[in-house]
Amino acid sequence: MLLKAVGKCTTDHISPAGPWLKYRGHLNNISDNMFIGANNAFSEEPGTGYDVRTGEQGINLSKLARRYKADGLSWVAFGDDNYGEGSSREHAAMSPRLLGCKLVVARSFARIHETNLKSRGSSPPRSRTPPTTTRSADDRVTLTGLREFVRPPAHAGADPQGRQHGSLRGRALVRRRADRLV
Amino acid sequence: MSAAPELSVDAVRALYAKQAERHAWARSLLGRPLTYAEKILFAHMRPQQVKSADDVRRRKSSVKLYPDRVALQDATAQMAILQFMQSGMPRVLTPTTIHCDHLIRAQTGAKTDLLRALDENQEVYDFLASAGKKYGMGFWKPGAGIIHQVVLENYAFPGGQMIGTDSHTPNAGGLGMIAIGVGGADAVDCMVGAAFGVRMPGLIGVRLTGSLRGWTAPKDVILALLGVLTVSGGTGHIVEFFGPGTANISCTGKGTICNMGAEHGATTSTFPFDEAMASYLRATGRAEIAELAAQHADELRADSEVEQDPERFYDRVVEINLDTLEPHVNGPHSPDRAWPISQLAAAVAENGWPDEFRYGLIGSCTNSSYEDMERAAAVIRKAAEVGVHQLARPLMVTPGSDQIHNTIRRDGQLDVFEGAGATILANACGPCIGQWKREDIAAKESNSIINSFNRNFRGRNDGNRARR
Ligand code: SF4
Repeated sequence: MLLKAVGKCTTDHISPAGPWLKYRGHLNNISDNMFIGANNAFSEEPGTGYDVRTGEQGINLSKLARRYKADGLSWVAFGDDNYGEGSSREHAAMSPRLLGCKLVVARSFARIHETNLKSRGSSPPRSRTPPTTTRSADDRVTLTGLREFVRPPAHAGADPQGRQHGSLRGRALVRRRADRLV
Repeated sequence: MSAAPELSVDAVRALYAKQAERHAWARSLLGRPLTYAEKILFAHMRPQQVKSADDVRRRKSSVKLYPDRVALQDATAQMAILQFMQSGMPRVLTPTTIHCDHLIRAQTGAKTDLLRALDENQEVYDFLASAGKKYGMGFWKPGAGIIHQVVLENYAFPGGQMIGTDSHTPNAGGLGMIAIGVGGADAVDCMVGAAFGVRMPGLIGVRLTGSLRGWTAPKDVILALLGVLTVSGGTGHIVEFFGPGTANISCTGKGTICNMGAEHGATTSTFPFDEAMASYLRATGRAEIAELAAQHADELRADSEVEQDPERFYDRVVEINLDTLEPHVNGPHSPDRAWPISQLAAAVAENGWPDEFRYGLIGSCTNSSYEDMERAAAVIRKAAEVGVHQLARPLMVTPGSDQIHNTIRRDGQLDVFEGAGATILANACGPCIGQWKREDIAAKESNSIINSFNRNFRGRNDGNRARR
């Protein structure tokens, strides 16, 4: 788990605008701002987390995500209620995806952000279990039932943007196990 | 086949010509009268795609809408257009406009900020302008205005349905539209002529009675409603205003209310057609549309049964009495923290918030209409009457569009602002999106600012780094 966002996590927390807008067309650069304003349950300073393999603290979340990605590790993000409140900016869905996010789990999502996550390929299942039951960033997340989940409906086809119809419908079962990685 | 970006009177006429039949079809499908929002939704579906009432179940069924228009702002347009280009289509099939408003950084004032923006963002602007030309999209250059104000002034019309790649697209509900904010991918679907897929929204009915008094403004309607609904209470719903109080609110005031519906998460908000909308249409050069709408007025409001028995039609009904509504200040950090002005001082003291305002900001798509500018100028004039001629704290004002800027120059409000020492910024988003090079405080220093914007998330408006 890269982070467990505590409290409000709006698109301004996930991908702030302002000075960052100058990287608007450059996904890799703008992704340096990923989760920069998010309050992470696993860390004191907003926008930071710890490396679950080394225990190193206070690492900027986009840096940490890049590290995981470079080492071939995927990660998930947990949010609370109304995750992604606010803007329609797609960077808030694209940056996590670029930096290795496979899944964003929240109790509820804001409508536009939920659609953006789907169309950018990160599955946003809702979790009835509040994320507070997750104890640490070392918890591992197992996704089951994926084969069912991604089976395209009979009429499936790619739309003009190559998104797969129906590929993200249905419900994934999210199970967390406290397997320690290290 | 292609679609010109202008608002075509013929297209509106064609929509109005077929909507009565669509409404009749929807009434028989549901076996009951329709609310206004339902009328617009059903007029923008294709009957052959809806087999039974089961296909349009609120909050359950996915429905396909065919919007009349698409609007893109410059920060999100780039990706949407790049995706559109992948489709290989020569022109957009739904009228589309591009608005350059988000990338202008507020620093020293309209002229210099605009020049700097043109320089800094030239590559983006050039791309958007040439793509607009090539694919038949309207292009509004930087400084022309904030997307939602420009849409309200030029493209919105009662009974229409549009989508925009910005969360405050619902602003066009001020002119009786169902205007929905989307991500770029949904916009591209519509630009290539495909449907916009959305879950059939639930309906929240807000019944307004009375009329606004004293210092209370249309903004206070939505600030109070946010206190009731909270930041997620509108999610998955359309908020439909109805009742006798609606006619007592101006068109741009209605726009303000619908704009900020984004803050309680609603899919969109809308008002029924009335004379306030007709006169705004006439004042903005669309008299023909005003006339057409007046001819179809019955189709541009809820069936009469709705007002008699709202609980039967809306999933939730909220009552707001404008007569007794107090001015509100919402915040900090969450737009649903609603404080009637009489309770604000106690709240500030109790929470230990810094009680001195360091900056005032007026503008954003929520409050940058002519009416808003006049309201702000009136306060300054009143202060002058009692001997206060200069602002004690810096104030920055962002007119919503070039048209408004020119009108307030003509009518004197601009002189009032500048005479009191306010800075007039470019007609754009500016500090609302954190495009503000703030230099009066150290980063991370706790301080209070007051603004007429829609969002107050920590660290958003002044780009100061967020803290816990
Ligand atoms: S003024 Fe603010 S809220 Fe409105 S479109 Fe611009 S950034 Fe968004």
